[in-house]
Amino acid sequence: MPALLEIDRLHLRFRLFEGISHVINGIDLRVERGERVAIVGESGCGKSVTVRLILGLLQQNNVLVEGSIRFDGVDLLQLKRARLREIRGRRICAVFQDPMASLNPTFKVYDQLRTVIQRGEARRDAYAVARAALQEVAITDPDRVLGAYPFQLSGGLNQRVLIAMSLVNQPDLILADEPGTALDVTVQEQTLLLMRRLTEQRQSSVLLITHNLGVVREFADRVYVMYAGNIVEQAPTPELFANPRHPYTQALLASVPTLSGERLPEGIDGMVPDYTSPPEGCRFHPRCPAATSVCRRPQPFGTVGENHLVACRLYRSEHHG
Amino acid sequence: MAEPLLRVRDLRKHYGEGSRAVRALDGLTLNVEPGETLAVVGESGSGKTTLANLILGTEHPTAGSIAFQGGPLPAKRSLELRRKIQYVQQNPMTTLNPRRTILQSIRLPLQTHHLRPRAEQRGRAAELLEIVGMSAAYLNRFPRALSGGQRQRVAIARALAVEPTLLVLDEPTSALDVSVQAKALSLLVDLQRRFDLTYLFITHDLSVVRTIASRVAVMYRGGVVEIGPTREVFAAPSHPYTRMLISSIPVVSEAEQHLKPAWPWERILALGAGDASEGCAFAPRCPFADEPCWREPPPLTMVGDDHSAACHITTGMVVPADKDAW
Repeated sequence: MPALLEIDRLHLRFRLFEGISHVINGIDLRVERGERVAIVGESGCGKSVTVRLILGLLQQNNVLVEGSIRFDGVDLLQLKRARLREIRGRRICAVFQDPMASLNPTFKVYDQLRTVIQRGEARRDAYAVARAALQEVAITDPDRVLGAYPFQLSGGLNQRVLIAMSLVNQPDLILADEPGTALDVTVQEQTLLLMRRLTEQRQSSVLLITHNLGVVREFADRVYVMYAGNIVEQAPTPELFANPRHPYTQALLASVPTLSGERLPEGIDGMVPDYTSPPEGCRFHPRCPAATSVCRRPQPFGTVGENHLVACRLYRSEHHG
Repeated sequence: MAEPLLRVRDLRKHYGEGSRAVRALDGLTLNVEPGETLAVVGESGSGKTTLANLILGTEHPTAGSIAFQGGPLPAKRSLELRRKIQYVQQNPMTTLNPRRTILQSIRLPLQTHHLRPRAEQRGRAAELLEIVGMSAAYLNRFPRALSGGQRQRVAIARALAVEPTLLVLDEPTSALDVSVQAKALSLLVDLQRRFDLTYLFITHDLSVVRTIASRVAVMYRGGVVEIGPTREVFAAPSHPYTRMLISSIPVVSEAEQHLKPAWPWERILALGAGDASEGCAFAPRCPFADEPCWREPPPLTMVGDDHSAACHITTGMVVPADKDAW
């Protein structure tokens, strides 16, 4: 059986005044049924546009896409808009970063939840469904929340409303783009706890987009590390944290402030490249302490452990190179 | 102990009148010692930025006092006082005037404070850029040509231009990527040593605090709920809100996971709304809240050397029923 989501050789280019910006540079990615997968990377690495491509939200004239995004065997990039709409909101749902920006301030919570419920299978009692959905995200007074406008509720409550909204149609895949990070840390923690619990119960798959390695460790089964439009390392979560191999993954881990306070975080010199003229080969090489001339050529993935792949010359034996 | 550099007593800032007033600061008391980094931590709406504004003199307190180097800070500040207290704000994208070159931005405080003759200003600006790790080639560029991390460095260089005593840093690294944030934090630590600076470091992110602050003050709803040496506050957090904050930091190793206090997240989710107008402001979100918490606000009480917390559990008036969760 194919994976629920299969992304193959995906390229994304924007046609800009300055030239062609090559934002996603041939990524492959899988999400199995019931699996929680994370893409981790810093701003501008291409993680959020990947989500937008899956949702079909990047259909502009200056966007050039190559490759395929197969969901349950169907290539979403080839679908007509009407067919895509049947999948989106029913089988694929999304939770975004800022709940205030995702909810319409001029409609009550119930009205917004109802339109989502009605996109699912025709259900007679939308109110009861909405009420039950809010109770599932531990909202103790669902009637008050359903009758309120988003601006009358706290950010944390709105975030829970969005989680309820994304789960109410029992989707197969949830795309979560930095959920809760626009809110306080305590709300982010609660968001992750709820998402983890509810998706586990329903066996839904999740593709989580985050810049926070700590969040990955707490939430995901498997992780892809992305840098400048490339996936540089992929592994099951415990394996990645126990044996980070790519110099970028290692540097990113060393940048996280510690609770023990034993050392200052280290950081990475330089900056993310300009996508209209990215570095040849491994796009990390200008910032990499281990870079040699070999790194100017494209770096294919090599296996360094079970399901653990790294795109770096350091881990390729010579006869393969 | 020597005279504190900054002495804040029972500071209040209310917006609006009467019962509908928003009490952004509601009786805040703290000291900042010379040469230290005091981190002020709290969620949005806890009053952190209001505190910064009052210290900088852009807003005026409703009641209470702020003293700097032993003297009260007047509403109308002398040029000298404005020079000594400098500010770095959160958003590197809006902190620099987009129509000024980097040189113009850094030169402005030199001119305002009459610090260098015109002929020396360019050289001084180049020197300041070098201090924050940037080449003088950036002097003639505009902010749009710089990354977020570089802009924040320029903002720091501009603050340092006038040789301040106290730097108020309002979320200086929050808008930066973690790899850039790490570099900015090291820079701040390095500059503090080099120039004998005192930092008031305002942040919502407790994780950056541990490595750089000597002391930490945790704010909730306009008041300090816990204050003490960073090491102690992290090792033995005494206020439930501090525990909640530390336990919500996502960490990257098993060893770090063990440093987090236990926290009953499941019970937090089930908590309803409560009326905290009489008692402790945190009571509606506290899984340990008991009858005294709803009745009267807990006073700030010593729990260790130089370490205080405002909670009825530390005063002994409330005993947590669930010992494991605490």
